[in-house]
Amino acid sequence: MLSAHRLELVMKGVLWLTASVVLIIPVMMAYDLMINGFSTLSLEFLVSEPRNSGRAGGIGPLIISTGLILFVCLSVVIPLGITCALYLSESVEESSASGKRISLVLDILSGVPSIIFGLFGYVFFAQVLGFGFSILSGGLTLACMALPLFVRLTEQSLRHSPSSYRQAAEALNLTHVGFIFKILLPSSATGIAAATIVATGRALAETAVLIFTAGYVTRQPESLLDSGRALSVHIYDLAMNVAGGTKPAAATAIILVMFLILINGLARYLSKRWLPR
Amino acid sequence: MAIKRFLSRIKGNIEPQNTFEVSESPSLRINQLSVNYGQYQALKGASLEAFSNEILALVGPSGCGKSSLLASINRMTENIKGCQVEGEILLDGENVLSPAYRVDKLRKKVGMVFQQPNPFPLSIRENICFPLKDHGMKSARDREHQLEKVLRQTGLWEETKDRLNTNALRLSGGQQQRLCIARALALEPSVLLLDEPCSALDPISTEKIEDLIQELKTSITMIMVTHNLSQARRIADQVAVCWVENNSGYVVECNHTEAIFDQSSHPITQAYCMGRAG
Repeated sequence: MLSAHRLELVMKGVLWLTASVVLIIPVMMAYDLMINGFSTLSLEFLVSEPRNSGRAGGIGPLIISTGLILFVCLSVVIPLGITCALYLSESVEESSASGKRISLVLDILSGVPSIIFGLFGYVFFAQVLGFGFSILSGGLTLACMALPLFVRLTEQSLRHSPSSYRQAAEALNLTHVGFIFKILLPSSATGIAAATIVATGRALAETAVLIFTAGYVTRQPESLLDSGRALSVHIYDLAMNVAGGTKPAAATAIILVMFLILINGLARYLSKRWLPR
Repeated sequence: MAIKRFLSRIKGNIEPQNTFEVSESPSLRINQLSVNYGQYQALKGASLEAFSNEILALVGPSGCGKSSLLASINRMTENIKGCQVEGEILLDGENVLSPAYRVDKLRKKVGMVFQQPNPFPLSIRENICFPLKDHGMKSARDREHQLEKVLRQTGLWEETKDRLNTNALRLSGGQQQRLCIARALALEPSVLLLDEPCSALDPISTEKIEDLIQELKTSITMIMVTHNLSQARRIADQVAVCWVENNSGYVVECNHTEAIFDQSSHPITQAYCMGRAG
């Protein structure tokens, strides 16, 4: 039988071990990317077009395509998602039958494999609406995929806004619109930023959806109706289909990770700016 | 035996007594007010009056319906699911509980301050100016004027005039509560409801709030819920003693502060005010 002191030491060891494993994996991944990709990184790589199936050249048009796809996705997800979340948090009681039903549907939708959304986007946006293989089709399909999770996270953050603000607003008889825009949304800004980061992460990491909808043409897109290859699709293609593509794949992955870190920082900065110091 | 005698005296006197002396016409009159939450009756048949330029304190043990009574006055009870309010609350002669009485008009006339200071997560300036703007005060100059007026009234002007744009949540608890009082005063109510406004504050902040309440009563009717009997004695002009029996609250009696604390013949009032019950 272990004494309480020994048990505590063992538990401490187990916790340290699991925490270290969790930390070591991303560190190893980052190390691997740096070893393989760092030598390929240059300003030239960031602005030039890919040549020889991506073995040479750079990823300039792909960064633009990814940015545009993300722009389309977030321009739909953020306004629509916040409006949906506001409706749910302000008008639907969480414990009511309709509240439970809507939550269930959103939870199921956010767990649906991305390939299903890809097929839906290909049929609906590319074929029925006639957008073809395009940045618009890709961005809108990603929006459908990211929306349920964004709505759920934003709704939770709005519901957790302190009830004392609502109580004060009611006692002062503030208008609902005034309360939402001046108090509720800014006080939930950190939660909305977190939801945006998660949605962006899902969108930037996605490949299956984009192969079906945005296509994988590597040239510079001229409009939202042009096909464009996202960075994630490029990494997949280089790693799986192109012999000798490991180094540019790793370099592209470094850029993608930096892209994510940048957006993460931007979202946090903007959410903090929303509130007075 | 003494306990039995005491209980029989209480039983013989459970009917509410409203023995206040009417010195002038009341600014707020409550008649036979009952508040129910589903099957549970929080308050039964409460009747009392609050006069202009006076402080009415509601005292009593937990669960005697003081806060329900207070929340009924500005109809905050409407937001509680299953809550039903019956009876009459007359403000300037009009029944505020009537569906025809608009809630926006009511809450403009009746301000409320809560137990926990609850400033908005905005700057000190915006905490006052935003509700004014939302209520239709378009001129920024008028809003600034009102801001200075209420901050001076609550003694916050000197402490905050150089940092009006800092977040109100950075103020101390006492300052936050004074800001909440200032925010309520900015809409120029004729009645101010205070729900245990000092219970979350330290003694020095409590003293400041009490002084402020005393100063404000010259222009406004105040109704305050408090658990602190010495506070009621210090600052109230009238005291209503509430009690709970059979899980239901009621008003035992309402009278001048001295009459309640020194001359009451009601056994519950005597027992509660002397710390023997409650």
